Amino acid sequence: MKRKHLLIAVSGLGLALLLTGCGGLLSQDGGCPACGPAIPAVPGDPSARPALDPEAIGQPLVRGEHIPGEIVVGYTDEAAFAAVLSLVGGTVRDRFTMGELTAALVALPPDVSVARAMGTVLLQLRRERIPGLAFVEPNYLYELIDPAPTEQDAYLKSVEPAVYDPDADLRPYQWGLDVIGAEAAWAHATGAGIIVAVVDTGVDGTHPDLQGKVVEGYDPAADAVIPAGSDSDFDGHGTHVAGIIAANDDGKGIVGLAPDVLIMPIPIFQPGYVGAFDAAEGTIWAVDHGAQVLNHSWGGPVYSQLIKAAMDYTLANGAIPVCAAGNDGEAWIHFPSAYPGTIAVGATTPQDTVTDFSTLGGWLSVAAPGERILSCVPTWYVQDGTGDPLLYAYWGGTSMATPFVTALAAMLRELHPGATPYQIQKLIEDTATDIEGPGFDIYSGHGRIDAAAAVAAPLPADGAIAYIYTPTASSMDTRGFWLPIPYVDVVLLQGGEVRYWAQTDISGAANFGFPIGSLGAGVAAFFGIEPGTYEVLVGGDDQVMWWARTANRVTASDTLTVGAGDFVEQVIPINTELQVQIDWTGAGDVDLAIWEGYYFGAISWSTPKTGATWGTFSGDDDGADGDGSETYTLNFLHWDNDLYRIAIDATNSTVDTQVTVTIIQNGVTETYGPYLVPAGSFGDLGVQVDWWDLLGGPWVF
Amino acid sequence: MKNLRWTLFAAVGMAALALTGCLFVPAAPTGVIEGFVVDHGAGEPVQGAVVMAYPEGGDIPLYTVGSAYYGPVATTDADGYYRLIVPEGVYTVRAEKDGHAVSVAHGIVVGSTAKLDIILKPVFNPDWPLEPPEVTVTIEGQLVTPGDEIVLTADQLADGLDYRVDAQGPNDIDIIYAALGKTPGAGWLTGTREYFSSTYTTGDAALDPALYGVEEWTTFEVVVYDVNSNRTHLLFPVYLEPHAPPATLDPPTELYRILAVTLGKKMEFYGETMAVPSGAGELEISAAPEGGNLYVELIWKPSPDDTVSGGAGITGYRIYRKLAGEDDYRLIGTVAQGDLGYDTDGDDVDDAYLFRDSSPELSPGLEVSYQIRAYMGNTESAPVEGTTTPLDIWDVRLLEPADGATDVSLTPTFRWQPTKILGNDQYYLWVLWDLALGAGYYLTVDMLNQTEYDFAGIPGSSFERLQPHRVYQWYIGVAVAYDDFHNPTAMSVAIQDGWSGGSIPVVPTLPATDFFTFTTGDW
Repeated sequence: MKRKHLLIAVSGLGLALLLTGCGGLLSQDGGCPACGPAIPAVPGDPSARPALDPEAIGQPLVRGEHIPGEIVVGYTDEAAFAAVLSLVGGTVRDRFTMGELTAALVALPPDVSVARAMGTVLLQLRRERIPGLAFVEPNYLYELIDPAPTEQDAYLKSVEPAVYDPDADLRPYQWGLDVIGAEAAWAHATGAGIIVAVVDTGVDGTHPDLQGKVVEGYDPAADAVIPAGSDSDFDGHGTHVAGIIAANDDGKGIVGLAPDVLIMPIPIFQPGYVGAFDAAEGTIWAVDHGAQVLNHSWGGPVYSQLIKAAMDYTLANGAIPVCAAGNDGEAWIHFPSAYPGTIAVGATTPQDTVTDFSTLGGWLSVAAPGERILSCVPTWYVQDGTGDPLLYAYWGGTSMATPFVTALAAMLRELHPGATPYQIQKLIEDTATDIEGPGFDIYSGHGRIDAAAAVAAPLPADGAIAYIYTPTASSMDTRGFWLPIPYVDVVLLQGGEVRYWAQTDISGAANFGFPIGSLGAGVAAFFGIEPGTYEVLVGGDDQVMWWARTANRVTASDTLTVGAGDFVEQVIPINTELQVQIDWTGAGDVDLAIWEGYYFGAISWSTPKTGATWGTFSGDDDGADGDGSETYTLNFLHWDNDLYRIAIDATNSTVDTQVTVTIIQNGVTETYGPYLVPAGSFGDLGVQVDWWDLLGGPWVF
Repeated sequence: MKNLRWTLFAAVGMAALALTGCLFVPAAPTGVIEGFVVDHGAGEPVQGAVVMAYPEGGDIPLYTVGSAYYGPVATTDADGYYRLIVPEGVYTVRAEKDGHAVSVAHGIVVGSTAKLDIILKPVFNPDWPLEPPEVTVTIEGQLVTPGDEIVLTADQLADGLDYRVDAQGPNDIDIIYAALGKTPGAGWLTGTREYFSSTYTTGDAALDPALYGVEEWTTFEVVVYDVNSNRTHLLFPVYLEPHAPPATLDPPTELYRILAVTLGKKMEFYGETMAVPSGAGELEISAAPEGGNLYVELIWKPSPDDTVSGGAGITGYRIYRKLAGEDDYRLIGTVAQGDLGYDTDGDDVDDAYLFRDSSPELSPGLEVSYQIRAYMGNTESAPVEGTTTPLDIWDVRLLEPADGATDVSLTPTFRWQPTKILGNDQYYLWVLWDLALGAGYYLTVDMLNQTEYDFAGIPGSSFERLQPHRVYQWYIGVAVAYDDFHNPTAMSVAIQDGWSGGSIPVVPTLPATDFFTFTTGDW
């Protein structure tokens, strides 16, 4: 439960301290201690700027638990990786490729924290793009989704005590197969010829019910191939999952839903946790070695660009990722199940209700049996009280529901070899039995799977792929290109429910070996989405500028319509126009004053009376009619070191005025004041607006 | 007989009983078995459950009073209460209801009145058998029959109380619990108990009686669940040789806390207490039941005679309870010396004792008083005492911005409404999520006795103001009513959706009823 509070670290508390701790804003009670008739002195020497702290700048991009001392770099160009390495130091610990994209695991030097490394790269990106760099992120940790607790200390792990004879038929205890119509489905398909990767804790290939079923696998942490038929499980979780999918149909023990599939073990877990790098590496190995369906009974709350890329790679290669929704029991985002194109699976009871631990969300696909599921445990499990081998156990969780859907996907792949992952997902969803709320609901998705119906139904039309680009709309970097805005969230909604969610990467130029994007800007890729019309919302911190300020957050919305089989690229420009406006009451001739290019000493204060150099004033308002308004707009090329300082020039005013200052940037409006501005004063508001600036503003003097 | 479907009997009534041909008509009965049937899974009283008693290994007794036939069959009322009139003897009590598993309790010794609360869980899979596990128990190497009195010598207990439980049935066994002096269940309320989850047998096991703080007549109890939630409960009266009593004992130094906790969205009767007659007369045995949504938490600091305090030692503490309308305090539980459960000074070392009472007899609005006494042998200290009145259940419903509202102001006023005003203070944690920004962006605000919030923006935060044309979700993440927020003796938790706000003890997650989503309008 404390997770929720860990995540609050991304809010702008640092800024709050700045705003409240300095007190330099014109006071609102009429006093103006900082004001004087003279134009305030400003530091023209760039060396007088406050030092930047990469650690603080990078901290917001460290969004969850991760392995200390490591970062993951995704790139399509070796030069980009070399540039990152030269920035942060460190050594390459491991790397692998997925299509044109390479992911490298970098061990940082001892004195460089993950946050510092992230901030260092980000600072460079503010200066200029690094072509061919897709992402830089911490090596996030993901959890095994353990069997869900039913009581304070009682887990749903229990055992099959009635029968110790390994020849006994345990099929009567497999309620999940009854509910979804397994026997009827087997008349059509059993998963023959399909390899299913169990990306988990390993699989005990020596288990009596899995003998002959476990093919060669891969341990990404050890970079070692696992021999077919061996025991690679350290925990039991992966063996339990594998049994639900593929246990032999021999009248002994249990039977898997797809008893003729072959299991490829991909043990991504060290005890307890997995790093995103190993999870992705294992996933890519499986896809490259023939896995057509992948079971992911693990996850966490953090969005990882690397795991997203691994899921996209899976989909682009026609393989089907099936992911556990999570055991949070509430509406809580969870990855990889919430990535677009994955089949997210919740858990049900024999009475077709969703279990109380199953995670809810608009991104759910279907639900499947997930409580008191009898399946295999490794042969080395020993029973309390007897010392006998356990062999089988009842476990529960979305981890146990997911392999039912994995098995069904394998059966459908056997029936429809050319179907896309979307078509298989849609077939499973369309034939699911509607439970919980009518139609789609956030508890069960499209309903509880029905294997008998799914294998008998025709293949539906294909889905769509959408690339959403979020470049700046009105600004260019020093080379005159649109600037991509990385790491912002792009969500697709229908009826106010978040259906799909992706983040933009850094470069947008990375094509991941998939359909190549034509625009070199931050891109959020949506694979395998349902045809239809979506509301698209874009939001996030403008990492290219400064993160912790409302005005430096981006927001935009648009509509996306996709048809079956479409590949759509849509640009949603972010309005980054900077506009400053003052409005005042009182019949004084007040002027909005802007120090353009604050650090270029030759440039002085500009007002509507003098005209601007880099922007445009709306015109001089003399306030004679009792109030006034003046606007400054900056809407084209700027120098990348510019800082714009704002003041109120009341030197021409003979009466006191009440002035409100409004700053609009990235589609976000900030209002300051009202300030009481004495006649004849020149008030430096102390508000600075970063504009391609390298400094950690905004500051308040 | 145990396999008869009692629902059938309930349907056809006494005529069917008369037809079974296995009746006997004793003299007017003198004993009563009574208690509550509660639904562990949903936490509600089970109304309409059929409860029936029959002698261990025997048939259904019938008897006459005047010209009327009576049988020990009852149907629970809205509170889950049942009452069976039976002759003295040792009974098995069985409870059933459609949609539920089967629950039986063996070894109910009826002198005058025996109290037995029964947990009757919803059935897991209606297609699986409704048969309670068959359980055999050995104590100190002897196969024992429920209800049989067992006297254990100090020599026998020198290496602990040896026992073995074996269970079987048409369904696989899920959990085996065992305990001395209490009905074992989930550790949150039961406290110390033995627990076996991966087996149908405990094998040859032993428990340490000193961890249970009991002496003289008490019970050894076993609870077994199968995977279909069928339950078998067995009681064995046992006698443990008492310690030599000291001349006097000092009471606990302080009753640190008395707090009635009501957990919302469920009913107040929940859990299980137990009283059985014994060879020494009727004994109210300690009872820390399973699960619970109304319980009273008692925390006290050790007696100076406790070895924890450097004293010569005691057996433990006895907890007595008196409900409003009752004349006397009744013994409801014991805690063993040394079984500390609470850290009062924050040094991560437990320094106080903890007992949670979740008897179904606790009720909102019903004053309840407790006494806690140190004891050893037949010497008891003076008590420390406390009184509280539990609060009722309540909930919070959201009003505006309404679910699905569009064109909502960027500085909206949020309004919500309690379904009931409880206590003097209501604490709320208001939560707002920016759905466009995923998991990372939310805002919470603590409020006391406030049912609306004018959102004007939080300067310097990620929520300086709402953004136009964006989707937000809002709800109340924590809602707790207190009799007195600053010095509570009773609280009622309506919502605890996983947030760590407010001064709330650890409670299970209680999700909010309403989650509202709205879209903002223009600037």
